[in-house]
Amino acid sequence: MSEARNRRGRGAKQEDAAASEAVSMYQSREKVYPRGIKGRFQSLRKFAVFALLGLYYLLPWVTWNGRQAILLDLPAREFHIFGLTFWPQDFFFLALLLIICALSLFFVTALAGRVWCGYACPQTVWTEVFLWIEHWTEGDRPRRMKLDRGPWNREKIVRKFSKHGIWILLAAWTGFTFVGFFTPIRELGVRVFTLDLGPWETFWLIFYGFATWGNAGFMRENVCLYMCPYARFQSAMFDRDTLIISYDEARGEPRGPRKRGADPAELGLGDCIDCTMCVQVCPTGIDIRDGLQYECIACGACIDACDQVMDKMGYPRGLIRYTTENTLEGKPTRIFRPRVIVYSVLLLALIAGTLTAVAMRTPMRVDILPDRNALYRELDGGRIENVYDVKVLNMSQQAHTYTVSASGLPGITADTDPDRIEIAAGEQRNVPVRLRVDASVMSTPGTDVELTVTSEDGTLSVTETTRFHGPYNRGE
Amino acid sequence: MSDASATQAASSRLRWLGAILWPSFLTAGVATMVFFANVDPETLRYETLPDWEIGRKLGYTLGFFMFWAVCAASSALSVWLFSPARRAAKAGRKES
Repeated sequence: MSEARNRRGRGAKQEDAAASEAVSMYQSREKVYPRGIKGRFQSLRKFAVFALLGLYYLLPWVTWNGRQAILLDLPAREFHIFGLTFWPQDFFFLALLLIICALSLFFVTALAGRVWCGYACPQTVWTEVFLWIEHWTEGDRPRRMKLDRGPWNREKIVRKFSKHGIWILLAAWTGFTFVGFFTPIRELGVRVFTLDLGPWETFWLIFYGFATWGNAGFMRENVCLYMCPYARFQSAMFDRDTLIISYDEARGEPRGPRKRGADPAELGLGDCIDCTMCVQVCPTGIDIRDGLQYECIACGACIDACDQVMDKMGYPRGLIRYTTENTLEGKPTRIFRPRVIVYSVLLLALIAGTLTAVAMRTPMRVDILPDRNALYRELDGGRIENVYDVKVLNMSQQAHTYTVSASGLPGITADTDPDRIEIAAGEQRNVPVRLRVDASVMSTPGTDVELTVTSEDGTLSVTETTRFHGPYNRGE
Repeated sequence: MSDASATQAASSRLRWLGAILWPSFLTAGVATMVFFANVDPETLRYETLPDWEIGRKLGYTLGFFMFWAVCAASSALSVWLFSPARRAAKAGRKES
C-alpha cells in the first residue's frame, strides 16, 4: 500500500475512533483562522466565486419572453426555466436532472478529486466571501487572533459590529434572492420595502438568510467535516489516478528550518522548511503534510502558499501540488480507465436521452377518472353508457382546441359537451365524456377502451386507456 | 462539574441533536419533493379534509414538517438504540 493510502487508512481509523466516542464526546474543535493568500489557485477560486454567486444573485432578475427567466412557482405548481414550463407531471425530468448532476459529480471526482468542494460548493463559496469580509473588517490572521483574545474595547466592538453588519446585509440579500427564485423578484423587492411580505416569504427570507450567516460565518469547515454526506463517500470515487493535493514527502523530508541560501543537502534536510504556511492558510485547519485526509476540500490554498515559499527559497515549485498517487510513485497516470469510461458513457447517454425527451415531450396531459356514482347506465335501444371525468391539461405556450374520440369496441362513440374543448395556454379543464356502445358487442362485463384527445390542428395527441363497464351477460 | 466537562457535555448534546435533526432534514427534503411532485396538496385536502382551509403553501410546509418529524423520530431511535449497546460493550471490555 502506498504512503498516501496508508495515511488515508489512518484517517479512517481516527474517524472510527471519533465515531465510537460520538455518543459521549467529540473533540471540541479549535477555531480555524485561515491566513489570506494569493496565487494561481486562489485566483481561480475567486473567479469561481464571482461566476457562481454572480449567477445566483443575477439570474432571478433576468426576463425571458416577458416573464422571469427562472421562476419556480410552487403555489401554481409550474416551473418556468427560460422558454420551458415544467409541471409536476414532468417530475421525471427533474429526477433525471438530479441523476445527471450526481453522475457528473462522480465523474469529476474520479478525474480531478474534490474540485466540487474547493471551487463550486455553495458552502465553500459563501464561506470564502464571508472570509473576505472578515479580512477587511478584522484584518489578517494574526490580527484576528489577537482581536479575539483581547478585551472588548472600542476597537473590537467596532470591528466585530462592522463585520456582522456586512455579513447580515449579505445574508439578508442572499435570503431575498433565494425567495426570488420562487416568487417574482421585482414585486418581491417592492413588497420588501413596503413591508408587505406574505408569511412564507418572510419565513424563508429569514430562514435562508440565517442559514447563510450561520453556515458561512460560524460553521464553515465543520459543515464539511460533520454534516456533508459527500465528504464521507467521495473517497469511494478515488483511485490511484485521481488528481489529489499532495505533499511530495520524498522531496520534502526531513523537514526543518534553515537560513536562506543554505545547502539543504549539506544540512541533511529535504526541501520543506517547516514554515507551517500550508497549515496556516488551510480553511479546514489540517496539515497536508500528514497525507490525504478527508477534511481536505482541495481548495489549493496550501499549494499557493508553498509555491511562494519555494520561490523565496529559490527551490523549484510543487513541493505541494495537484498530482496523482501513481505520479508520486513515478508510475504513469492514466486518464482513460474503466471507471472514467463507464461514468462518461452513462453521462452522455443520460444527457442525450434527457434532451431528446424534453424536445419530444407532448405538451398536453390527459387524466381519466371514471364516474363513481354509477359504473354504467343502460339506455333505450340496448345501448350502454359510461361517464368519465377527463382532465385535459394544456402544457404548451399557446391556446388549443381539442376533440375527444374513443376506440377499443366496435361502434363506440364519445360525446363531450361542448364538442370542441378550448383550453388556454397553461390551463386545465375537466371535461365530462360519455362513451356509448351497443350492449351486444360486449362479451365481458368490463373491457379496456382507449380515449384519444387530439388538438384540432392535429399536432398534439394523447391516448389513455380506461375501463368500460357493462352488465353481466344475462343473455346466456 | 468542571467548566471543561460542562462544555464537553453541552457540545456532545449538540452533536447528538445534530445527528438526529440534520440527516432527517435532508431525507425529509427529498421526501417532500417526491411526494408533492406527485400529489397536489389542494387535491389531498379536498379528498381527505374538505372542511379545512389549507392552501398549497401551508400544505407544502405541513408536509415537510411532518416528513421531518417522522424522519427525526427514526434517527432518534437509531441513536438511542445505538448508545446503550456501545456502553454495554465498553463495560464488557472492562470486565474481561
